[in-house]
Amino acid sequence: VGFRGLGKEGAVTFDEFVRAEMGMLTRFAGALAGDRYLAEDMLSDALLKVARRWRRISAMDDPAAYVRRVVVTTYLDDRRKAQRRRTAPSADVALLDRPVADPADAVVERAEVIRLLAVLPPQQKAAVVLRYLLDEPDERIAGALGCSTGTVRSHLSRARATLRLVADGEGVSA
Amino acid sequence: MNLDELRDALGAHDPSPNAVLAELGRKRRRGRQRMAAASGGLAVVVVIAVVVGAIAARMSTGTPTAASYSASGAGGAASVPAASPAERGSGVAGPNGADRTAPLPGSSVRQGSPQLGPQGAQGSCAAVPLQAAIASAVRGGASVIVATGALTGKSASGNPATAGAPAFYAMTLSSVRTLRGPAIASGSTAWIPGAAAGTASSVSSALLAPGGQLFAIVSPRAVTHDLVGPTLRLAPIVGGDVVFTPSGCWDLTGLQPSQYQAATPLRPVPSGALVNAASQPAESGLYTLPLATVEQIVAKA
Repeated sequence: VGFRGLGKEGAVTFDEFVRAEMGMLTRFAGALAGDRYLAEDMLSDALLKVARRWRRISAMDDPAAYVRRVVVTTYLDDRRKAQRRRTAPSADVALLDRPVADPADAVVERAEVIRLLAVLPPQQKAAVVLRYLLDEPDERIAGALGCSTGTVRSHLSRARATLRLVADGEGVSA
Repeated sequence: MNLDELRDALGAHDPSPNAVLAELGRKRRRGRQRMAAASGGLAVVVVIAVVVGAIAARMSTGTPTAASYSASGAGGAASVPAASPAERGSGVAGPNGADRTAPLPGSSVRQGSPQLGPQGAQGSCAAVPLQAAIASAVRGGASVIVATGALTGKSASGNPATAGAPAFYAMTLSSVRTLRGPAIASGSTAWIPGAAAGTASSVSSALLAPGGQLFAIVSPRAVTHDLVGPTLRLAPIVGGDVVFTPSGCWDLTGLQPSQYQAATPLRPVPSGALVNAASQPAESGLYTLPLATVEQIVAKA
């Protein structure tokens, strides 16, 4: 899913790369940020960093993987800054277990999922996005997050608990 | 919650690609503007630094004027020029005020005034008449003496930029008679500024009479930034006459000096060919005044 395909095509220009990958980049950034405007700001910041280093990045084996890592790093940095500026969201997991007011209402249901995603710690959320949106394996998620695969599995396990998801092979069920 | 619900929620906030590209373009433009502003600021700083450096270098090596001579003299003896001996001209200003001596390429060394350190100015001597020079030196803490000097053989290397000369040669003073300023005791050691050994020509170096009798302005130790002790701006005494040499950068304007006619050879410091009346260059002559006349000038200064 996205972010792949350029491989060693180091000859591509930054603009060509962005055109080819913009769809997935926006999807990825939107999922991470949980807000389209924040996502625009974050993704443009990340691409600005990439543009400055494009000559070196384009020569890498997998420039898309590196760009993905830059996006994740930018997201994590933004979250750290935001936590210093704003009131921290509740970390009370019990709050997440409150029954939904009207489970039959799809809109409310979606809002509840979004709310649950919003309270995930940034590292866990990034792991969830990479796994369930981009279908990335643990190794690539670990590369993007700059941690071990064991840590990735830990992030995903905790996130699933928070989201009340249960891993079932490759799928996830309620 | 199932996977579809999760993916649906994750994809609910996709930004517009066009909006991202527009934002990226804005940020790149701002970055270029900041870079240009920073470059401009840096350029301004560099220009200012260069200008300040040039002014500072000019102040430390520049030719002194009569005004600066007086000002520095009144303030003491701390200012030291940075000109190297090779850059300086030489000469004794004759009775009409004109510099009678042509610069000697790469060879001139002068004993300086107390105000300007042991070395003279770059390119030409300061046009300060003898009496005014003595008065200024005394105000700066210098002494004016008649004594007998003998080189000790000791020397010290100096940085022309900080000490005023590339080398200093120690001299022991005896039979000292202090004419003005703080008394100088017999047996004191003072230092003659000069070129590094082997680089000075005879006529442009400080000259010593065979018996070592000399007239001198003794500048305080601070003139050389404490590199060595007090320094000498000397003129040898031969047969009751003070011989004003090119190295002293003396200005005899308004006086009635005579050209040095004696056959007595004068010995340059630290070494070089002996100088006498016959060997002195036509345009870089040695001029004399009777010691009694000089003492009267000193007394009136």
